[in-house]
Amino acid sequence: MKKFGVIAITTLAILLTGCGTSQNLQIQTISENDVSKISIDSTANFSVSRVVVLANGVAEIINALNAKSILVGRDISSTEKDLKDIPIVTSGHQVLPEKVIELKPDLVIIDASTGPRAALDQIRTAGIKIVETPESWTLSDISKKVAVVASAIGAPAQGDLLNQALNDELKTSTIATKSRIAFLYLRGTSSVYLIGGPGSGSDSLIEAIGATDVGAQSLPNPYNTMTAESLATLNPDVIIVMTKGLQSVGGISGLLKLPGVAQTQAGKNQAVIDVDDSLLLSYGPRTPSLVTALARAVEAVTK
Amino acid sequence: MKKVAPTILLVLVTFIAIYNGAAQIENFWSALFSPGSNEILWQIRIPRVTAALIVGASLALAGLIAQGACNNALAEPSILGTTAGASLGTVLAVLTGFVQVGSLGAIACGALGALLATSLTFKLANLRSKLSSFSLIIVGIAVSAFFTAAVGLLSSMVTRADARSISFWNFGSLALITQENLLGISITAILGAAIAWRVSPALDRLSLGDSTAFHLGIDVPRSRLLALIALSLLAGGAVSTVGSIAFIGLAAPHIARFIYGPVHRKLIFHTAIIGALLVVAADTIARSAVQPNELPIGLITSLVGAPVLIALVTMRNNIWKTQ
Repeated sequence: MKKFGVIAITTLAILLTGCGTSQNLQIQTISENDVSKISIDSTANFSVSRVVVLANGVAEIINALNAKSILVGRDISSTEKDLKDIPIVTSGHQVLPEKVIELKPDLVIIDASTGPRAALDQIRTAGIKIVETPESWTLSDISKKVAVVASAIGAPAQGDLLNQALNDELKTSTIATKSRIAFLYLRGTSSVYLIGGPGSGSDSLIEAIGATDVGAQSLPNPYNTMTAESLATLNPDVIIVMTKGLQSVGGISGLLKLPGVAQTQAGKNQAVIDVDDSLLLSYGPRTPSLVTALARAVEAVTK
Repeated sequence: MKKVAPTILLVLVTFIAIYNGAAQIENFWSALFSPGSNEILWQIRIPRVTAALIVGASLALAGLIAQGACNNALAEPSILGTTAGASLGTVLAVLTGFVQVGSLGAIACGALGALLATSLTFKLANLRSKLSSFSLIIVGIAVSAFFTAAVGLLSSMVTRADARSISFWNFGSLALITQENLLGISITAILGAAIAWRVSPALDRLSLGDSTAFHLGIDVPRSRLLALIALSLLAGGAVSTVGSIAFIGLAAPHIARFIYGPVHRKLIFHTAIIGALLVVAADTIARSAVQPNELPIGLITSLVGAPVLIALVTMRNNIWKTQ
């Protein structure tokens, strides 16, 4: 009887350890809390005192320039926790001119995606100065955008300081991995399944960690319809998605059920990284830290 | 020659569908003859082509039975409200969270939705006068529109990943098919075809009108109910898995009647072949016309099927009555 007990316990122990190792999910998540932002402490006098930001990522840059005090309104895409007390003046991504004018700004910052046009015309007619900043889709765009924003608020020296700090951080964070990575833009609830190609924004990040963006390598457009065969042919080792995008297809199990995903190396190893939606393509003060976090995540899922 | 042409074409088009795709298959012939060897071929492309064959055959048979049972050349699952009912049944079932699109549960709910919607069309068309072709089609269109709107409302209100989009339910797509989906649609196709086989002699008699069929010994209500069940199974299986693919149920039976004459037992096999041919061809065009993108398959079938419908309306007497 004693012998039977020993055998039973040993068998149970083997089974339990077996179960423990076989269910080792690889998926890595990078949230806002996993990255830190680069900012500067030095103070300066700004040429404007009330700024409304309607351009993706600019509020974050103004905050990093230590100029949060002049920020009086923001767009919906500026989701940083630091900025939560500043009123939002857009409905969805549509600018609400009445809300902007009501704040009596002396400067409004926009980019090429800001609209509708008519709303901007109304703001201009109210005598408010509008400055357009370039959009940032690559690492090298960040410094240009910072410089434009810094001179728009009359503090170009602050911009130089921030750019210096950002570049220092970027130099130390590049880690060489040889992985082949694909970025999938997913909105399962609207049947949107896209593969990032050249100029998607993700290609610059993937390049920065020394990996290859397989979509950018062989697809024609920034975003390409994801078909089962096209993804299986690209056969990435790692798949990067946005966190809400992953949720929209039903999490990792839903992602693996999409035709074509299971046939890739990434699908077989569940080598999937999900990154906070507003962080992944923000290309601003948090990006150097994101590059480091991404490199670590890629190493973790390809171990 | 004319009589074997659809079968020869089907073999040819199926081969083209398996050979062509976004991915180039290395050593195609050896991969084709060693099942499971090439993942893209065996896990993605062949399941998709097989689904297209089964769905095409199912929708075509559904159309044949609908036309026979209603004695109406224009009766078709998407006109009678059957496909809209199947969509609504599936979406409702998916929203309860118990079933997923493509599962047997979803198919069962789709078939039930199809049965209820089609019955509703018949009931409403029959309310004030004897069932006329005209009232059946008008009521069918209204029921379809209502159910389609309900599907649209539900799928845009709810953000569940597997509820699919309104475009999927309206135009259909085989892009999300996996091997696991084949079992369900095979079951409904076989069951539906078996019932159709059983009821087909009665459908021949029904073409002479209800009272003549009755005097020839046909239990008209029972035959119609059996036909309705077959129609719901076939359409429910196909629609709940790949969405609505329009006009297959209209075009395939008419092409078959044109070539093989009006006897239903004979038509069952040939209609299925022609339906399979149409869907495989449309899906191949849908996934290769604008590579690397894909078009919804329903766009292709509508482009081809709508002219067929117009031709039928303008020459209806010739096609339906003389055969």
